Amino acid sequence: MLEQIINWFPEWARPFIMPMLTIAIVLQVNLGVCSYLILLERKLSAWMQDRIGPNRVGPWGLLQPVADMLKLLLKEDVIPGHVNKFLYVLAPGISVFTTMLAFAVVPFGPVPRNLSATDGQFPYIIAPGVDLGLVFIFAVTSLAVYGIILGGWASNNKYSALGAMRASAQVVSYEIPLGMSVVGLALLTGSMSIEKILLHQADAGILGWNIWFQPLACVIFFAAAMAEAQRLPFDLSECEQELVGGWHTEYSAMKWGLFFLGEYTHVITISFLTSILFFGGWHFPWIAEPDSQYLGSTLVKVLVLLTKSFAFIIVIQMLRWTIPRFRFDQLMGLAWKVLIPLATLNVVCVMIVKQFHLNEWWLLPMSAALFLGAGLIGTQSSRPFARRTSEPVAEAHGHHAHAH
Amino acid sequence: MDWSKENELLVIPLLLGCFAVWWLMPSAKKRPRIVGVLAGLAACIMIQGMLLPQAGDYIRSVLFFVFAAAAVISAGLMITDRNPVYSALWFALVTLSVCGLFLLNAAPFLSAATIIVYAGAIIVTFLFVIMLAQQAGTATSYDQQPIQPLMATVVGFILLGVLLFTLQEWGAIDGTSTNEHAEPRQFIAVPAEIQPNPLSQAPHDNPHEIGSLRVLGRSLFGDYLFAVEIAGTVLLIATIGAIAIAPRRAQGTL
Amino acid sequence: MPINPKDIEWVEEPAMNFWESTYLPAVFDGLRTTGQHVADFHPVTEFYPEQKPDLPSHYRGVHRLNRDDKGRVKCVACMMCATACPARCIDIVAQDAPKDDPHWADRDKFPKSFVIDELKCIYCGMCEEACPVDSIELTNIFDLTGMSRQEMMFDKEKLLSVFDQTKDSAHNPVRTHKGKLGHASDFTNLHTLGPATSVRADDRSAKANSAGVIE
Repeated sequence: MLEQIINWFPEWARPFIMPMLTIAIVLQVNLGVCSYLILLERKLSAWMQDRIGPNRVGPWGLLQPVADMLKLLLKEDVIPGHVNKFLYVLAPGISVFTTMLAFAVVPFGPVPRNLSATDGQFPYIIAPGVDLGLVFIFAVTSLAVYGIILGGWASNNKYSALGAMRASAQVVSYEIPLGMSVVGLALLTGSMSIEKILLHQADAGILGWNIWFQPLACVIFFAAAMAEAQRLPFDLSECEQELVGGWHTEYSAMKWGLFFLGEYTHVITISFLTSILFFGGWHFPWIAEPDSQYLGSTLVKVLVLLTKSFAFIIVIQMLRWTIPRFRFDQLMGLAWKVLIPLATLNVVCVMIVKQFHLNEWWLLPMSAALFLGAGLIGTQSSRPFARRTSEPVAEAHGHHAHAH
Repeated sequence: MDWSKENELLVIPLLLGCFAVWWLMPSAKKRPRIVGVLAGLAACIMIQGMLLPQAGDYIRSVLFFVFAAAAVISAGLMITDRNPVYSALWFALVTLSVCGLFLLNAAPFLSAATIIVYAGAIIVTFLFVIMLAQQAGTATSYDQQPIQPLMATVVGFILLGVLLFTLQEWGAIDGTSTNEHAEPRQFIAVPAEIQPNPLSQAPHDNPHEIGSLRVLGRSLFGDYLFAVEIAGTVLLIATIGAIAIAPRRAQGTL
Repeated sequence: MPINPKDIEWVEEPAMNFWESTYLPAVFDGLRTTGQHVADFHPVTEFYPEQKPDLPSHYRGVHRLNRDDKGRVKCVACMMCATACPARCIDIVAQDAPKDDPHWADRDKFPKSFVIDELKCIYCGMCEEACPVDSIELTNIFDLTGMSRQEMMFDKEKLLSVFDQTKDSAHNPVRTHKGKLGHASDFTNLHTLGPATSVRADDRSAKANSAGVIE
């Protein structure tokens, strides 16, 4: 059917139809899902804190996102007088644009093999066949920090500026473990294309999911990705208790809403990536195998992938309301002293296995050993912020006596 | 004067561009900006005739000119903007435009890596420092005015001229442009086809593989192994140096 | 005054054991706690407009002026509350009680006007503490609204009407018992509220000669 629709269009326009359709679907679904994720997060946090959560708009508060959206749209859009107007308006746009762009190479269903743009097959990915999809995602999400740093600086507010400074340092640092953690996957699969990594796992069955070979990389990836998305426990750049609202202190109405939309899109992307890269994507034993051809198997595959991603979204939201925020030096220490060395050693392990043609299952004990070794080192390391053992300087004593 | 006649197509735009950039540089005296803008535009239009993107591919040519124009204009603005923050942002735009050109030339990894390293990390660090250093009200002329505008402009454009001359020579010699009407004076900005590196270990038999991870790995750790290792060593030395210079915690900072 | 180094008590970070230093067990432990709250869901939410909060009897809300058993205002216009008030929101004009009226034989003075600015008031309860005859009291009424500032200046009649309104309610203030007014010294069967934080005997504040002054 889709092929007939495509054939209505003139020759030159045909390659654009499918991408446009996919983009439209992804964009709309993303907007709706984001607003309901906010409701879910509010409900979940309420349940954890023995509250009920939003329950006034519609049955069980199900229309709350509509009310929120209307409020954001109709609210007065304040642009403070002291801001740099151009950058102030540009920043939320960058934030949304980059996070949405990152979704272009993330498959959200079974991508057909031998896909062409005009044969009427729904691609289930906006940009099929990007061979360096992972690198593309990291490149695009690394640009997301501009939205934060420009928004913070243009606001001309010390809290915003502090938040922006923190965000830039944090994102730049966590990009490294994020990139390093998936190098092992690329080595195992022989490709950086997300579709190929997914297919590689699907063809190998449930015991071929990358989580069995790269559990440590999965943890590092998840933690670093959450830090990239500025989610708690890594939301140092907008921590309410210290910085009012961080870099979006001066934003209101829909501009603030765009920042929020960007954050939630980022969360969705992380969840999709985690389930695709480490948990087999749409693959699930018996019901969604690569060769299952029963009626509606495609739908089942999409649902499996969505369920996996949803589980990770829940985990991310539960972590937000479970773990307290890091201190900034702990945050940087985690990136530079823990995650980056571990990710590097993990890559070395994969290299060893590949070079000496060992069984891939050796990677599981190797990852466990790295993890436990890191824990062992953690017990031995000094605590830099414990009390300084040196005596207080003599001047303090003199001054004290004088005061008496 | 044969030489100058032969190369006036290159020399005149270079001189014009040099003048435009010098004119637009922030200075104590107020200069009408329109003169510099017009000179710069004229230079760009004149040199545009020498850039021959691959003929026949309409989208490619449009994209090439969009990215190229964005890169050149952002670069000009980066040099001539008074506000250091804006300069850094223009620099980011230059990087992004150049990455677009990389993509056009089938180098996606180079493009993505440049975005990650330059736009995503280095320029962010620049911005970080500029925003910390530049307090409102205390911005004095020292970070708003160039110290040696004329010298810097001339030297920069001599470098640009040398590069352009070299490229022109190459374009004339190998003549692989698909443009049938290529004149000896013109050079190709987008090569028609990518010539395999004769030293490469893997023959590029599959054109779809160009730019893929496999070919990239072969190229980086085969053809250019020495360069990659040297660059890595330099970076390692720089890292060790930075750690060595940084004050210890016992010294009371941090 | 600089802090005496001897007074500084350093709290050492406890050393992390093996599982703590791997972070993940603690994360899962936390997730289990929060997950249990989701699974075993007992909300403590009160649906406010429909369900009024059950406030403690020492809650400090809108003031009232108590009446004595003859129905007169109990206030003797001694100005103690106005003096104690840190927000200076109480304004009293006193009048001598009519000498020849047997109804007022036991009183010297009564307030001719008694106005409390409920917007200025910080609801600290100092007036209640200061009152020697238990006349002014803070009630449980917390949802006070008004359309103008003038409306929020509560005069004597208004304050007395608050008394009439609240004396029979379940949340009658503690010092009066169902409208029957006790004497100010009837403190014996009231339990005192403990301090917010426990004070150790070796604390500096505990050893201080007088409250609020250290050395």
